[in-house]
Amino acid sequence: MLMFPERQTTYGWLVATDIFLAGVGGGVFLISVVLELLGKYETIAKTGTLLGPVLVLLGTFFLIAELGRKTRFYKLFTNLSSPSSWLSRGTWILIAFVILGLAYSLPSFQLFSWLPWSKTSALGQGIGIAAGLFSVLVIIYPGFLFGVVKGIPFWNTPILPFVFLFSSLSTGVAAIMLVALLSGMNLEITAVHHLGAAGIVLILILLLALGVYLYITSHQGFAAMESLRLLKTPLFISGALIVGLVVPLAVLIYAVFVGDMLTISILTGVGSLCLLAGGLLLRYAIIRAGVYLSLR
Amino acid sequence: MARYGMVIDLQRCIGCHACTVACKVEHYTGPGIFWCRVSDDEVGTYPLVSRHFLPKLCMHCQNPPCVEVCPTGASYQREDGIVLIDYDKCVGCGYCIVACPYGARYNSREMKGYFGAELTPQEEIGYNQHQLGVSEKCTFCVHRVEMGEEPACVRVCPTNARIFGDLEDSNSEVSQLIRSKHGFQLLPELGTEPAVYYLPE
Repeated sequence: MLMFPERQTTYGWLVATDIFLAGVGGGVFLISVVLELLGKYETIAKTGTLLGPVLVLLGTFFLIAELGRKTRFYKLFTNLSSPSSWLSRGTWILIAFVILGLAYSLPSFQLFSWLPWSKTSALGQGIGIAAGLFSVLVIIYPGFLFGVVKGIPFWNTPILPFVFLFSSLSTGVAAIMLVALLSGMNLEITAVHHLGAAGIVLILILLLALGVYLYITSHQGFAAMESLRLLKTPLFISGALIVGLVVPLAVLIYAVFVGDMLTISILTGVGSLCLLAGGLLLRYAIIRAGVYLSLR
Repeated sequence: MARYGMVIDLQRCIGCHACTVACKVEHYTGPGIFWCRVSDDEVGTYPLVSRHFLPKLCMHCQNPPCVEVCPTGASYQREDGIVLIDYDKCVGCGYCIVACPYGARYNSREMKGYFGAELTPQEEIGYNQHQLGVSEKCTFCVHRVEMGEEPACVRVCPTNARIFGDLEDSNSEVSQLIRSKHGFQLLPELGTEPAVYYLPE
């Protein structure tokens, strides 16, 4: 090797925030739809099905903010001749999800009760299932967006969509718990227990996926090793890993197995905030650690 | 149909950066934007140190990752293999910049002059061929090639390290050099099939 590998500097906070919000939104929605299918915690789930598309929509504004020519943003989804681009595909996925998600969610609110379908009607159920499927795509497409970049071995790996999947689901759980707490909804202790337990499992799976991801990366040559070196920052280790995953894990374990109602409320609130912050930092760290293969 | 390509003889390159400057003169690229550049790397530790120059530009790949990831169809490939950007279609998303393994693409987020805050009259005219906020890169000097001339970097190279020609014509100088002097491409394992070949040092 004659040349030191270069780091990508094009993508940063804006893209990280975009895919973070898409992940949280998709996660919140998917979990809420599942809760509704199970017939559990319907008030929380009702808010969740609305919050999901709203967060994803918010994320798209960060995507537009990233553009060099913001007024041309519509070209991202109006060009049908480039379906090979994961940015085109992603934009179509985001639009389809926001439309379907809102179409599923809105009829359950008074203001939109005039809509000719409801969540329980056959059409509404169909929309809900379609939206649920699209929420999965919303969550994992960033994995492909980065994954197709062959020049950056740290990104060019099939495990990235799984990292985004479990991170999104865990941040989705965090967002649902936070909304339930903030809106003063009557968050039953069993709901905290169930959501908290789901959060614990998801964090553990995510930690495992991250471990596999970093282990694989360490065997992918010099550029990948340079990516790992760039990950050794307080942002990733203290931020994304410790504050973002280990602290919420400990907090949720305590809340689920030990705490009383008041401490549980405070603890799940703190844990959820940590999880959300960790989700954003994790994405930013992965983006910033993108290092190109050495040309020679 | 021709497939245009370039051969860069690393044994001849002396790292004078004449190509870098000729490209800037030809295309009026702004500060910090290099459609053509020469990297200068020191390898090893004293006393076993060597210095290596690597002229870099758009590789005009046969399978260009930038075209594949472009969401708007702004990046495209001509039949002669030259990869270009339609500035009017580009939204400046930066995906092609990220996807290019050769670091050939830039985004002109601002049009700064080289001599202070105000643009010189020459810059004002020259910058007209650019657009703000879009991706840009080497065009293989398509405007010169279409007039039967060589790209500016080839024309200016004082050691004749750069040779331009048709890769499909097996009798062309580029094809012969690649065959006889073991021309190689950068990152061939990615399957991009660059049209720029290098002759070993």
